[in-house]
Amino acid sequence: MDNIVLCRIDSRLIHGQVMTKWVNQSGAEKIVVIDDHFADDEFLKEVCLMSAPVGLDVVCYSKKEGIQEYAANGFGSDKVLLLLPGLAQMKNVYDQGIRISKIQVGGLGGAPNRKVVFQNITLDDADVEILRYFQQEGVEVIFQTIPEDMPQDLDNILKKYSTK
Amino acid sequence: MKILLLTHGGWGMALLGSIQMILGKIENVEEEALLPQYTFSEYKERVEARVKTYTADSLIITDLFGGTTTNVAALVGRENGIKVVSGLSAPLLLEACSEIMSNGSYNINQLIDAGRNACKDVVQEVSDRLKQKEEK
Repeated sequence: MDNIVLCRIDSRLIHGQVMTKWVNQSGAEKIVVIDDHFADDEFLKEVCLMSAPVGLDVVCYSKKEGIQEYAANGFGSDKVLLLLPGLAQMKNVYDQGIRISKIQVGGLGGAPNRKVVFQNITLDDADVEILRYFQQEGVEVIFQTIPEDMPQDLDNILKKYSTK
Repeated sequence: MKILLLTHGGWGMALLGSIQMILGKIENVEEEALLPQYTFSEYKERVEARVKTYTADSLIITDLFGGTTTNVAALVGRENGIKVVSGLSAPLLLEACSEIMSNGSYNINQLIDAGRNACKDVVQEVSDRLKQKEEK
């Protein structure tokens, strides 16, 4: 530890923004996706692997596999872009050993009772609780969709959430 | 038979407008734009809702391989038995529409060739052709 150059929460996982912007920006040599939904369905998993930039190593794990791989070898020696679909999944793997020090929230999508806090990032009460938890743990959380945007810090975002 | 265009932000209908300058009025082409606020599942639901009414000989064309448009189409295409081609472009859509207009069907390999073959290093291409002629 720690080869994780970027840990991103993005409900779309690997997609245009990630493959064209963040891979270059972070200097990642490998993408690790942790998502039970994708990892458990062979076709879905292949779609996920297929969407990675050419020449870049990409793996897709379930939460359980991800935790095991991290414990065994810290995802290997390559620089890793770690990608998870949501904050609940992030907390789950963090509590079970993937102790990252910084989280970038890059895309969390809309359901009816969620509030927009920055661009297309939405939160609900459960997310806010998890964010406060990470804050207490001393994990730095920033909100940023693409590198050209100014990263927003957590306090700002929480303030926005409470006034909406 | 329908063609569904999946694009980031919704530029498919503008492209269709351009193709209609060449082919005349085209019906049966629709678009489902991927907007920044959609999650993967929301967008998938929108695409599924459209495709539900389509016959199996229909076609989905997506703009960006590796993007959410294509990832969603891969799943919806498999579940509904509908072909999906990525790399939406003027030559690709032109080929698809003109094949359907004249034959009532499309050949997937011809579409892919049309998209691929239209991407060229143009000045180099012309120079190479001239050179070949001189050598003859």
